[in-house]
Amino acid sequence: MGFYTSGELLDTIVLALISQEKSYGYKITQNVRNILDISESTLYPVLRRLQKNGYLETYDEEFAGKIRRYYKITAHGMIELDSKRREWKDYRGKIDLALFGEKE
Amino acid sequence: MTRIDYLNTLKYELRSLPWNEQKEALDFYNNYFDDAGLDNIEAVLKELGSPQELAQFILQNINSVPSVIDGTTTKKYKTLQLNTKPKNHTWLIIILAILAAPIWFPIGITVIAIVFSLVVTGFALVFALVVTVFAILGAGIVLGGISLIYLFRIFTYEAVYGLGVGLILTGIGLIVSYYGIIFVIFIIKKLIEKTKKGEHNEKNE
Repeated sequence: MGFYTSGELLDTIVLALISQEKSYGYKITQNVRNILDISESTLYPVLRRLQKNGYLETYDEEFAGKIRRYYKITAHGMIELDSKRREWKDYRGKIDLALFGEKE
Repeated sequence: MTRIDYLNTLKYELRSLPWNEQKEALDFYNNYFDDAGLDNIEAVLKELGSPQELAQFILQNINSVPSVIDGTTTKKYKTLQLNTKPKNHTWLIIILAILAAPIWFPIGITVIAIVFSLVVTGFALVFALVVTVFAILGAGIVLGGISLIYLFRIFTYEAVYGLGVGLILTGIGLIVSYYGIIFVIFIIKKLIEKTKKGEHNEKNE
Protein backbone atom coordinates (compact mmCIF):
# COMPACT_ATOMS: atom_id res chain seq x y z
CA MET A 1 0.00 0.00 0.00
CA GLY A 2 1.26 3.43 -0.84
CA PHE A 3 0.17 5.05 2.38
CA TYR A 4 2.56 5.10 5.29
CA THR A 5 1.36 4.40 8.78
CA SER A 6 2.51 6.98 11.26
CA GLY A 7 4.03 5.91 14.54
CA GLU A 8 1.18 7.60 16.38
CA LEU A 9 -1.42 5.73 14.38
CA LEU A 10 0.29 2.44 15.15
CA ASP A 11 0.38 3.35 18.86
CA THR A 12 -3.33 4.15 18.72
CA ILE A 13 -4.18 0.91 16.92
CA VAL A 14 -2.28 -1.13 19.50
CA LEU A 15 -4.01 0.75 22.32
CA ALA A 16 -7.41 0.13 20.73
CA LEU A 17 -6.75 -3.59 20.22
CA ILE A 18 -5.68 -4.04 23.84
CA SER A 19 -8.67 -2.01 25.06
CA GLN A 20 -10.93 -4.61 23.46
CA GLU A 21 -9.17 -7.54 25.07
CA LYS A 22 -6.13 -8.00 27.32
CA SER A 23 -3.47 -9.68 25.26
CA TYR A 24 0.18 -10.75 25.05
CA GLY A 25 3.09 -9.77 22.82
CA TYR A 26 2.87 -12.47 20.18
CA LYS A 27 -0.89 -12.26 19.77
CA ILE A 28 -0.89 -8.46 19.63
CA THR A 29 1.79 -8.59 16.93
CA GLN A 30 -0.21 -11.09 14.87
CA ASN A 31 -3.40 -9.04 15.26
CA VAL A 32 -1.68 -5.86 14.11
CA ARG A 33 -0.06 -7.75 11.23
CA ASN A 34 -3.53 -8.74 10.06
CA ILE A 35 -4.30 -5.06 9.65
CA LEU A 36 -0.98 -3.50 8.69
CA ASP A 37 2.07 -4.72 6.88
CA ILE A 38 4.59 -4.35 9.68
CA SER A 39 7.61 -6.36 10.70
CA GLU A 40 7.48 -8.71 13.69
CA SER A 41 10.05 -6.55 15.41
CA THR A 42 8.01 -3.35 15.35
CA LEU A 43 5.80 -3.95 18.31
CA TYR A 44 8.06 -4.24 21.32
CA PRO A 45 9.11 -0.57 21.40
CA VAL A 46 5.47 0.45 20.90
CA LEU A 47 4.25 -1.65 23.82
CA ARG A 48 7.11 -0.56 26.05
CA ARG A 49 6.51 3.11 25.29
CA LEU A 50 2.78 2.83 25.92
CA GLN A 51 3.55 1.09 29.18
CA LYS A 52 6.03 3.75 30.27
CA ASN A 53 3.55 6.48 29.44
CA GLY A 54 1.12 4.77 31.80
CA TYR A 55 -1.37 3.75 29.09
CA LEU A 56 -0.75 0.03 29.50
CA GLU A 57 -0.16 -2.25 32.45
CA THR A 58 1.51 -5.63 32.40
CA TYR A 59 1.04 -8.68 34.55
CA ASP A 60 2.45 -12.18 34.35
CA GLU A 61 0.27 -15.25 34.13
CA GLU A 62 1.24 -18.87 33.70
CA PHE A 63 0.20 -20.47 30.46
CA ALA A 64 1.12 -24.06 29.53
CA GLY A 65 3.91 -24.09 32.10
CA LYS A 66 5.46 -20.84 30.90
CA ILE A 67 5.09 -17.33 32.20
CA ARG A 68 3.29 -15.12 29.78
CA ARG A 69 3.23 -11.33 30.06
CA TYR A 70 -0.18 -9.84 29.45
CA TYR A 71 -0.93 -6.25 28.56
CA LYS A 72 -4.08 -4.43 29.59
CA ILE A 73 -5.20 -0.86 29.20
CA THR A 74 -5.22 1.57 32.14
CA ALA A 75 -7.75 4.32 32.89
CA HIS A 76 -5.15 6.78 31.69
CA GLY A 77 -4.86 4.74 28.48
CA MET A 78 -8.62 4.85 27.96
CA ILE A 79 -8.57 8.64 28.17
CA GLU A 80 -5.67 8.77 25.71
CA LEU A 81 -7.44 6.39 23.34
CA ASP A 82 -10.59 8.49 23.49
CA SER A 83 -8.73 11.66 22.53
CA LYS A 84 -6.88 9.81 19.73
CA ARG A 85 -10.17 8.49 18.39
CA ARG A 86 -11.49 12.03 18.22
CA GLU A 87 -8.33 13.22 16.47
CA TRP A 88 -8.65 10.37 14.01
CA LYS A 89 -12.29 11.20 13.22
CA ASP A 90 -11.33 14.79 12.54
CA TYR A 91 -8.42 13.73 10.35
CA ARG A 92 -10.43 11.11 8.49
CA GLY A 93 -13.23 13.62 7.84
CA LYS A 94 -10.81 16.00 6.17
CA ILE A 95 -9.19 13.30 4.04
CA ASP A 96 -12.59 11.88 3.07
CA LEU A 97 -13.67 15.34 2.06
CA ALA A 98 -10.61 15.75 -0.13
CA LEU A 99 -10.88 12.30 -1.69
CA PHE A 100 -14.61 11.94 -2.09
CA GLY A 101 -15.88 15.50 -2.08
CA GLU A 102 -18.74 16.98 -0.07
CA LYS A 103 -21.32 14.46 1.10
CA GLU A 104 -24.89 15.64 0.63
CA MET B 1 21.55 -19.11 15.09
CA THR B 2 19.63 -20.64 17.98
CA ARG B 3 17.15 -18.84 20.13
CA ILE B 4 19.57 -18.65 23.06
CA ASP B 5 22.36 -17.27 20.86
CA TYR B 6 19.95 -14.75 19.44
CA LEU B 7 18.84 -13.54 22.88
CA ASN B 8 22.41 -13.40 24.18
CA THR B 9 23.54 -11.31 21.24
CA LEU B 10 20.50 -9.09 21.63
CA LYS B 11 21.35 -8.56 25.29
CA TYR B 12 24.88 -7.58 24.39
CA GLU B 13 23.68 -5.15 21.73
CA LEU B 14 21.29 -3.52 24.22
CA ARG B 15 24.05 -3.00 26.80
CA SER B 16 23.75 0.80 26.60
CA LEU B 17 20.24 0.61 28.07
CA PRO B 18 19.60 0.58 31.82
CA TRP B 19 19.50 -2.90 33.29
CA ASN B 20 15.71 -3.02 33.77
CA GLU B 21 15.16 -1.97 30.15
CA GLN B 22 17.44 -4.76 28.93
CA LYS B 23 15.52 -7.25 31.05
CA GLU B 24 12.13 -6.01 29.79
CA ALA B 25 13.18 -6.40 26.17
CA LEU B 26 14.69 -9.84 26.69
CA ASP B 27 11.64 -11.02 28.64
CA PHE B 28 9.44 -9.82 25.82
CA TYR B 29 11.30 -11.65 23.07
CA ASN B 30 11.74 -14.73 25.23
CA ASN B 31 7.96 -14.72 25.72
CA TYR B 32 7.52 -14.09 22.04
CA PHE B 33 9.53 -17.15 21.08
CA ASP B 34 7.57 -19.22 23.59
CA ASP B 35 4.29 -18.18 22.00
CA ALA B 36 5.55 -18.50 18.44
CA GLY B 37 6.08 -22.19 19.12
CA LEU B 38 8.85 -24.48 17.95
CA ASP B 39 7.66 -24.71 14.34
CA ASN B 40 7.66 -21.00 13.85
CA ILE B 41 10.95 -20.15 15.51
CA GLU B 42 12.90 -20.21 12.25
CA ALA B 43 10.39 -17.95 10.52
CA VAL B 44 10.24 -15.59 13.49
CA LEU B 45 14.03 -15.34 13.65
CA LYS B 46 14.10 -14.49 9.96
CA GLU B 47 11.36 -11.89 10.35
CA LEU B 48 13.01 -10.23 13.30
CA GLY B 49 16.24 -9.74 11.40
CA SER B 50 19.65 -9.99 13.01
CA PRO B 51 19.92 -9.25 16.74
CA GLN B 52 22.04 -6.23 15.82
CA GLU B 53 19.29 -4.83 13.63
CA LEU B 54 16.62 -5.55 16.21
CA ALA B 55 18.68 -3.89 18.95
CA GLN B 56 19.22 -0.86 16.76
CA PHE B 57 15.51 -0.66 16.14
CA ILE B 58 14.64 -0.95 19.83
CA LEU B 59 17.21 1.68 20.81
CA GLN B 60 15.81 4.10 18.24
CA ASN B 61 12.16 3.65 19.04
CA ILE B 62 11.86 2.87 22.71
CA ASN B 63 11.58 6.46 23.86
CA SER B 64 10.04 8.40 21.02
CA VAL B 65 7.36 7.70 18.49
CA PRO B 66 8.94 6.92 15.13
CA SER B 67 7.96 9.80 12.90
CA VAL B 68 6.75 8.31 9.71
CA ILE B 69 4.52 10.67 7.74
CA ASP B 70 2.21 12.15 10.30
CA GLY B 71 -0.85 14.04 9.14
CA THR B 72 -2.92 13.98 12.30
CA THR B 73 -1.05 16.32 14.55
CA THR B 74 2.29 17.96 15.04
CA LYS B 75 2.14 17.20 18.73
CA LYS B 76 4.46 14.37 19.69
CA TYR B 77 4.65 12.29 22.80
CA LYS B 78 6.95 13.80 25.30
CA THR B 79 10.11 11.76 25.12
CA LEU B 80 10.49 9.91 28.36
CA GLN B 81 13.99 10.17 29.65
CA LEU B 82 15.36 7.04 31.20
CA ASN B 83 16.69 7.02 34.73
CA THR B 84 16.02 10.63 35.58
CA LYS B 85 14.34 9.74 38.85
CA PRO B 86 17.37 8.52 40.83
CA LYS B 87 19.40 11.54 39.70
CA ASN B 88 16.70 13.98 40.74
CA HIS B 89 16.49 12.23 44.06
CA THR B 90 20.17 12.58 44.92
CA TRP B 91 20.11 16.22 43.90
CA LEU B 92 17.09 16.85 46.10
CA ILE B 93 18.79 15.21 49.05
CA ILE B 94 21.96 17.25 48.55
CA ILE B 95 20.01 20.50 48.27
CA LEU B 96 17.90 19.62 51.29
CA ALA B 97 21.01 18.78 53.31
CA ILE B 98 22.63 22.13 52.45
CA LEU B 99 19.46 24.12 53.16
CA ALA B 100 18.86 22.32 56.44
CA ALA B 101 22.48 22.74 57.63
CA PRO B 102 21.73 25.70 59.97
CA ILE B 103 19.06 23.57 61.66
CA TRP B 104 20.60 20.13 61.92
CA PHE B 105 24.05 21.32 62.99
CA PRO B 106 22.95 22.77 66.39
CA ILE B 107 20.45 19.94 66.84
CA GLY B 108 23.22 17.41 66.27
CA ILE B 109 25.49 19.12 68.79
CA THR B 110 22.67 19.25 71.36
CA VAL B 111 21.92 15.55 70.94
CA ILE B 112 25.60 14.65 71.29
CA ALA B 113 25.86 16.82 74.42
CA ILE B 114 22.79 15.19 76.00
CA VAL B 115 24.04 11.68 75.26
CA PHE B 116 27.47 12.57 76.62
CA SER B 117 26.03 14.03 79.84
CA LEU B 118 23.86 10.93 80.35
CA VAL B 119 26.89 8.66 79.94
CA VAL B 120 28.90 10.78 82.39
CA THR B 121 26.03 10.74 84.91
CA GLY B 122 25.80 6.97 84.66
CA PHE B 123 29.52 6.53 85.26
CA ALA B 124 29.38 9.00 88.17
CA LEU B 125 26.53 7.07 89.82
CA VAL B 126 28.36 3.76 89.50
CA PHE B 127 31.55 5.35 90.80
CA ALA B 128 29.68 6.87 93.80
CA LEU B 129 28.15 3.47 94.59
CA VAL B 130 31.55 1.76 94.46
CA VAL B 131 33.15 4.42 96.68
CA THR B 132 30.31 4.18 99.23
CA VAL B 133 30.55 0.40 99.38
CA PHE B 134 34.32 0.52 99.84
CA ALA B 135 33.93 3.18 102.55
CA ILE B 136 31.38 1.13 104.51
CA LEU B 137 33.36 -2.10 104.08
CA GLY B 138 36.63 -0.39 104.96
CA ALA B 139 35.17 1.31 108.05
CA GLY B 140 33.58 -1.97 109.20
CA ILE B 141 36.74 -4.03 108.75
CA VAL B 142 39.01 -1.43 110.34
CA LEU B 143 36.66 -0.82 113.28
CA GLY B 144 36.07 -4.55 113.80
CA GLY B 145 39.79 -5.31 113.51
CA ILE B 146 40.89 -2.64 115.98
CA SER B 147 38.16 -3.66 118.45
CA LEU B 148 39.26 -7.29 118.21
CA ILE B 149 42.90 -6.38 118.90
CA TYR B 150 41.79 -4.31 121.91
CA LEU B 151 39.72 -7.22 123.21
CA PHE B 152 42.75 -9.50 123.28
CA ARG B 153 44.73 -6.99 125.33
CA ILE B 154 42.07 -5.80 127.74
CA PHE B 155 38.36 -6.53 127.95
CA THR B 156 36.24 -3.39 127.66
CA TYR B 157 32.61 -2.93 126.76
CA GLU B 158 33.70 -0.24 124.28
CA ALA B 159 35.77 -2.84 122.41
CA VAL B 160 32.81 -5.28 122.31
CA TYR B 161 30.62 -2.44 121.08
CA GLY B 162 33.24 -1.53 118.43
CA LEU B 163 33.49 -5.16 117.28
CA GLY B 164 29.72 -5.37 116.95
CA VAL B 165 29.45 -2.15 114.99
CA GLY B 166 32.39 -3.24 112.79
CA LEU B 167 30.72 -6.58 111.98
CA ILE B 168 27.40 -4.86 111.19
CA LEU B 169 29.15 -2.37 108.88
CA THR B 170 31.06 -5.17 107.14
CA GLY B 171 27.81 -7.08 106.69
CA ILE B 172 26.01 -4.04 105.27
CA GLY B 173 28.97 -3.39 102.97
CA LEU B 174 28.93 -6.96 101.65
CA ILE B 175 25.14 -6.92 101.11
CA VAL B 176 25.24 -3.54 99.37
CA SER B 177 28.19 -4.53 97.16
CA TYR B 178 26.48 -7.85 96.27
CA TYR B 179 23.25 -6.16 95.17
CA GLY B 180 25.22 -3.27 93.65
CA ILE B 181 27.17 -5.64 91.40
CA ILE B 182 23.94 -7.43 90.37
CA PHE B 183 22.28 -4.06 89.65
CA VAL B 184 25.22 -2.79 87.54
CA ILE B 185 25.37 -6.04 85.54
CA PHE B 186 21.60 -5.82 84.96
CA ILE B 187 21.89 -2.24 83.68
CA ILE B 188 24.82 -3.12 81.36
CA LYS B 189 22.89 -6.12 79.96
CA LYS B 190 19.86 -3.92 79.26
CA LEU B 191 22.02 -1.34 77.51
CA ILE B 192 23.65 -3.98 75.29
CA GLU B 193 20.24 -5.45 74.41
CA LYS B 194 18.90 -2.01 73.50
CA THR B 195 21.84 -1.12 71.28
CA LYS B 196 21.56 -4.52 69.59
CA LYS B 197 17.85 -3.97 68.99
CA GLY B 198 18.64 -0.50 67.65
CA GLU B 199 21.12 -1.93 65.18
CA HIS B 200 18.59 -4.55 64.16
CA ASN B 201 15.93 -1.91 63.49
CA GLU B 202 18.34 0.14 61.45
CA LYS B 203 19.17 -2.91 59.37
CA ASN B 204 15.48 -3.62 58.80
CA GLU B 205 14.90 -0.11 57.62
